Amino acid sequence: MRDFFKSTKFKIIVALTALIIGIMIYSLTKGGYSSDSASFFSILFEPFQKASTSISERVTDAIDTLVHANKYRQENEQLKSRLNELYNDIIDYDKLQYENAELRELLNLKEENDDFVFSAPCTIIARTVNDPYGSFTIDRGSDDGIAPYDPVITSEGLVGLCYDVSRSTAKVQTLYSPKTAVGVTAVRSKATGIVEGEYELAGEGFCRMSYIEKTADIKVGDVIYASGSETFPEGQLVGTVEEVNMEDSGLSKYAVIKPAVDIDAISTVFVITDFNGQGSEK
Amino acid sequence: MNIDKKRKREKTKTVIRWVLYFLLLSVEYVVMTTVQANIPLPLLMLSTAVCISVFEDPFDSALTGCVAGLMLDSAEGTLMGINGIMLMFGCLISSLLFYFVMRKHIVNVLLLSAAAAFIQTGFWYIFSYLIWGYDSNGRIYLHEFVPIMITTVIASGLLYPLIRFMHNNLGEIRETYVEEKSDDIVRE
Repeated sequence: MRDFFKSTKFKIIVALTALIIGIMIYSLTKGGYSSDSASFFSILFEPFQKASTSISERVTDAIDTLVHANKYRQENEQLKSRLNELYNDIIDYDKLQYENAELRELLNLKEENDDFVFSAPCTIIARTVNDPYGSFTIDRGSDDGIAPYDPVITSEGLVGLCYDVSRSTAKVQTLYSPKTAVGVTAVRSKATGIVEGEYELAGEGFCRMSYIEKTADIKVGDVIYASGSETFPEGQLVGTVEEVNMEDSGLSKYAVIKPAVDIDAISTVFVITDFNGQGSEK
Repeated sequence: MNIDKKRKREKTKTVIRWVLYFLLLSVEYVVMTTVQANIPLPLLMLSTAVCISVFEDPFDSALTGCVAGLMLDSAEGTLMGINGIMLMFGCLISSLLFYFVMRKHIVNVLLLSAAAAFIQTGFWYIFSYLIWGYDSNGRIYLHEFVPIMITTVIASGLLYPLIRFMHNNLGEIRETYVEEKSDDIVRE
């Protein structure tokens, strides 16, 4: 064994270690951009990942249909009864009118944001292994104008932001992650807060809206959107309030938010590469 | 003439074996980054690297560990190189242990896999969760990392016979012969 530690092979291993440590330090100084070595594997395996994702989605769909046939039948029944409830709700004309005004306001917000520069549609090519916060990799990177901290959306609303960008791929952290903090406002009452991820809620497909004033008027069903910051543009739909509670300290409220986008089910997203008021950190 | 032919055949077998090892790692990388499962996925590259280190010499094992670790870094989205270094030295130590001290037995492989998975997930947990001071750190470790360790050890148990089969059929003839005779000769 002593001979091995004196051999040239062991010296090569030590040199390799030094090289990797160098790469690690270099990666740390890149500020959100993948180093070339870091993106090597993602670029090398990108076509295989695309093929595998396509196959696994088809197989999963087929198995899902077979395994969950009973569940879907039950869901169908539930949806039918829900539909009946909705027919009854039509009677409540005032309420509908109010909701209509809310939606119109959101629509206007979207139309007003003509300053957005969008990337081409991005396909999700990989989900980060064992990440409880659902981060994923998209098939476009810095060559397509994407930079770290660019917001990621779908037509339904906000998804998250890019955090690790290589030339042809980018990693996206979602609203479920505690590292993603979005300043938000409720459409109806203008109550404000910050939406961020939480481990317990992420598993159930929810996130948390914190720092809501104790006296703020916020209730279940309220629609919330991004207030606008250097990272997230104003007016992007974030989700709806599912539950409102008082913090343990009694100083403020918090709400459980159902994101507008079903993050676990999406396969295509858009990245906003530029908008008025975007921060200089990109 | 016969000896030359034999050597050429052995060389071809060695090349095929290493190509198969790399293909196995590549398939695992693609599976880990694309398959969406409701259970925590095992660290397949770690299991494979540990199993390969049982049969290969320390230098080759260290290089394999390094490549597997870098692939794991890419799949997990961790800082590039941290798993590369850990698995390189993990496989080096594992290979030296199997070369000089331990018997090539599945129980030993499972124990080493468990140790490697414990260290890898430990670093991952510390750098990705513990130092950020999230509220649910204890629950995250229990519900995310412990299952990963368990599934990784199970994966090692399944991969070991496959890699042993590859090595026995595509390994060097002399080494196989000596192993079959006695473990003591190998240790000498």
